[in-house]
Amino acid sequence: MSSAEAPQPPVQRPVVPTDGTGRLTVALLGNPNTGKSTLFSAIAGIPTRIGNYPGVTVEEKVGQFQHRGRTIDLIDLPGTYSLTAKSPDEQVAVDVLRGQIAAVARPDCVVVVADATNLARNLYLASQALDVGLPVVVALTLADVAEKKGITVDTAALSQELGCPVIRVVAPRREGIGRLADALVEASDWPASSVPAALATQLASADPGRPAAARDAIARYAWIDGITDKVVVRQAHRPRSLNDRIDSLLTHRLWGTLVFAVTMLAIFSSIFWLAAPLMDLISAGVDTLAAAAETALPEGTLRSLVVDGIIAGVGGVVVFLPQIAILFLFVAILEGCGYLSRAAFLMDRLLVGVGLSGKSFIPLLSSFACAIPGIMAARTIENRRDRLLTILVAPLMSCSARLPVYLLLCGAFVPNIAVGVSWLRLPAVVLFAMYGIGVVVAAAVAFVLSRTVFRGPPQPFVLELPGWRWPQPAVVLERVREAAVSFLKNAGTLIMAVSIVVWALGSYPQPKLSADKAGDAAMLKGEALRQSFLGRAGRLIEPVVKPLGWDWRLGCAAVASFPAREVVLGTLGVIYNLGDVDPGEEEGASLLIRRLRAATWDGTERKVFTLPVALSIMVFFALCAQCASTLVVIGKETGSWVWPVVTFSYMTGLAWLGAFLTYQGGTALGW
Amino acid sequence: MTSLETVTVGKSANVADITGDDATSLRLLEMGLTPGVQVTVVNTAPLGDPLELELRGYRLSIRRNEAARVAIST
Repeated sequence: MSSAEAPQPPVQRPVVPTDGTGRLTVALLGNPNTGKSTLFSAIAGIPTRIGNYPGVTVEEKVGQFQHRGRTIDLIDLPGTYSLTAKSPDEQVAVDVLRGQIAAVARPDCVVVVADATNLARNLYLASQALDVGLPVVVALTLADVAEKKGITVDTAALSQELGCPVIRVVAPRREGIGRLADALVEASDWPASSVPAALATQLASADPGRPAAARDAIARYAWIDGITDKVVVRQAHRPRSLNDRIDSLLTHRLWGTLVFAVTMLAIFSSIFWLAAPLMDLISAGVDTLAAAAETALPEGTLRSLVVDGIIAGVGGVVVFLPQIAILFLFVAILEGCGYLSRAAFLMDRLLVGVGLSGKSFIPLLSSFACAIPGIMAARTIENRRDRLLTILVAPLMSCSARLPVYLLLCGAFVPNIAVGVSWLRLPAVVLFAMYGIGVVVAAAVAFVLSRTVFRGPPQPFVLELPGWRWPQPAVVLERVREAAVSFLKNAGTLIMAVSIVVWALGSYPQPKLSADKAGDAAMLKGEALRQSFLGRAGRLIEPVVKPLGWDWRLGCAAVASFPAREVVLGTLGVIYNLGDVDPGEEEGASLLIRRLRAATWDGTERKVFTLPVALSIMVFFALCAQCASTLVVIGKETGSWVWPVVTFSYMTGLAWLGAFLTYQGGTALGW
Repeated sequence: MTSLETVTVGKSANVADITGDDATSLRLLEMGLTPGVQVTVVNTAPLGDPLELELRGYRLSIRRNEAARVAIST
């Protein structure tokens, strides 16, 4: 449906006589920020199905509940401001209501959620819902918040004007939920609601000189203006509530911006510092499991597969669960209190400069911890193009998995000299520079893409800024739970598969050791790796990595870490004959560092790890797409395998280029 | 045509019309910026763009180039 098309006439549904039993399907429709999620939770509890509608990346959420002996499926349609289908979300809502999605039963009635604090705009969608060919029930939410603002809605009068039941609910206190459930069960047996006479008149007498959709919009608001006077009562004077005070603070030019900066800083830091002890806990758990498997299983292929393949691989990813959970916790809280939009508002100008929009801010900020939740958070960006662009550059935000690499290489090879002032040390500057490189390159990529491949007509930024409200714990925790479960599922399936494949490539063919090479376990392991497919791959790509200043062993480690960059330090440990070095242990790290410092090119005395080489490794890691999980999530979120391939290709290309320039430039400058 | 973009922070205006026929203009209408409605420019973001408006009892944020499409009656 193009924006200029007139809304289609309602699809009449056959009035099937029912005997008052049987399964019902009810759709929940409403603007964003109306407490729809809280209402859904209050009626149907935890969703029974979350996924995507077929063929689109619009989230489908369905719950189930029992009422008056009936089983009722409650479909939570995506929040939308209108049914004139300008975006995939709106199109899905329309399609579901008209019964045009084969996999989804046409609803028996639709509950329109209307926010009492700004009824006028909410009635716009309600007026469209009355035209869709289904019985309508209006749930008036946030009535308590409205009353605190001195706004009272006369539900009886509103019901009269709309020609359908209006039930006042306060979902967090479960007020009105019972009556709403009654109403929707009853309504499901009624014929379709019809457009109120007053509205029909307005629509008919609309100015024909405009495109149909625009003319309808104006007519609808004319009707709304006519009824709000009769239906909404505003108190002239009332005391300032706590909500008012918080609102003033958050929207204040100076204080608001300060609060914003502090909040973002808090989120960013907590993802690192708060998550750390939890991550250590999981890490310890994984180690214990590995040790247990090591002793329980007899030496051989199976043990190697389980310990070195599965536990190492999956364990390495599961350790990120605390970060995912904390991040989604913050995002859900911000969303619940209405602050997410305000963050987008504050950052929009900056992001527009690079071809994105304010709504990309939180997803990109989140990606500094881990790109996966960041990419998932991009669902809040309704604009298709902006969303895709955000997803494509999100992996460039240096995620926490890169940090160990940076820390190790900075600590080992960057001279600890002061830069300018005595407290500013070069290793810290280099670390910051690595983060900076990711951001700068992301900005450049977004800028270029938005003016070339993704060039398009300007997309509206028109964004509602909801007032402050208290987030609902049930909804917040539900979001965290969903994210965590989805992450673990992915870890348990794809990551396990990839780990096994990498293990196989690194273990086969089994090494043929000549007699004089028999040595300690560490050396044997190194030799095994060298003779495996992985090792051969490393040798194969040596010409490609030589311009970066790397020898074949570094190439090998880079190839091994393509599925998950976390493995690189462990792989380096093995290749340089250290056996299983855990870079987290003090002893292990310095042993690895000593070994790396001493490493020479095969057959020469020339050191491998010079400063330019260390820098080129870091730059490579900063820009490379070494995370199978991320690529999988990109595929899922964009609904196509094209984009993961594009992401992988462009990032690998940039990584090589960046590493090349760093090494060549650094060597030329005599670093 | 005097547009909403020219209205300074703290001042109100009445919408005369929305120019343009594309998705953006429709969106502005659907969010309630229809002829006759009163709009107040409440704030701007730190860098001057976007604008924060108050209309029909809620707050809406639009970019300056979007506000340029909103003709106001003087």
